[in-house]
Amino acid sequence: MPIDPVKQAEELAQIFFGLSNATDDFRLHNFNALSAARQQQLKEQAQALDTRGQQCTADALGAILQGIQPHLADIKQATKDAQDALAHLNDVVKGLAIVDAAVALVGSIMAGDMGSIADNVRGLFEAISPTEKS
Amino acid sequence: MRFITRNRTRKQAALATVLVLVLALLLSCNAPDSVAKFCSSAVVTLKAGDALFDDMKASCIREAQTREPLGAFPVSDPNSAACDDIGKQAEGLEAASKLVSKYFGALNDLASFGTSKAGDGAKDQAAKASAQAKLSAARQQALESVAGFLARAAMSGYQQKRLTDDIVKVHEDIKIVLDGLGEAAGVVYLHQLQDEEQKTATRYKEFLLEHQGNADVILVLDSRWQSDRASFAAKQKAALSYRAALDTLAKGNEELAAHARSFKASELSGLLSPYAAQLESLAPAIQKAFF
Repeated sequence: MPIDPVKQAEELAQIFFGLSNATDDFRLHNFNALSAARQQQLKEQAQALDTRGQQCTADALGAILQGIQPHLADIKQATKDAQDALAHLNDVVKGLAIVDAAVALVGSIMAGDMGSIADNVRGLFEAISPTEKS
Repeated sequence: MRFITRNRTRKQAALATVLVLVLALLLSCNAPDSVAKFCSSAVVTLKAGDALFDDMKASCIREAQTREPLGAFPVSDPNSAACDDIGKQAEGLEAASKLVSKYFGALNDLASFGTSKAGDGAKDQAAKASAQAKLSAARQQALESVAGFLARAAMSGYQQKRLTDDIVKVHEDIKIVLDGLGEAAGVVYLHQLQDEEQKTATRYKEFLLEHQGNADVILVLDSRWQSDRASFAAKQKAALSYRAALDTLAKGNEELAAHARSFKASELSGLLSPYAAQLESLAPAIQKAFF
């Protein structure tokens, strides 16, 4: 079974937090019985365990980030594609190519000119499709 | 001669009918509206999650502050390398969330693009052309309407193809990233909050043990604790709601990718509406905890 670094780091963080809290609970339940020095020692131990838990939390977040990183480039590219498509549509609206192509197609339909209809349909789709850049 | 004219008119009518039917079918697929609504809800949800990522380092620092006894009144935050590291990773996750949000924003913009603009332009241009050709009023009107319709259909077809391509291409990447963000907020951050809550309680308990029997102290601390608890509960609910929202978003996106090729408006709208509604209902629970 493959090791899941996120789960491992999460579980470790939980273990350290749990131990830290157990140490605190022990200290508070025996508050009056423990000497000030012992209290301080237990407090520091709880803090050290807690810091370990925080480090494991950072590790878990880091492992998640590492897992998603390779997929971000594709999403970035798809975002750019969608933005380019929108920019292209805006350019088409501003330009007259699509209008000319549509008018030409209607003209050939109205004239019943079978020969030019296919060309004009192609013309209409070319007017909307961006030209390939070499 | 009459036969040729009649034959041509029939051909024209048949051609026009077929063309109009095909294009009407194309235009009836106004699925981009449902896609736009879904994507816009996605952007709102993802944006709401920024506060959670910002709070990851803050929670770590607050938790470290509980190590100071009440009344210590420190003037600076504890300098913890672990908190800095948490902050660094959280920033990376927030950046990833913004990237996904940008993706849904771009899809929303593309899906919201009004192809009718092109149709209107074509109509105007056709009006000029037909006026120059001195066509009859009926023919002029027909030319304008059909030219507008054709331009709109061509643009709509292009818009839908590009939308479909983008959605299908990255739906698996989107799912992986959303799952990761959901785990960071709904599991790791949730545990952070639970630990912070525990340590805050410990700090109050310790103070109380040092001031045993003081009723005023008990009342003040109890009141503070109730307020802290409400804040922790709201944040924990926000973390869980965010994870649930990302889960919904991922499922909706999968459905969208699975049906993107067919892109029938009625089906897609019915399919995406529950996801969009669910996202909208979860967003306030996320935002409420931080404002």
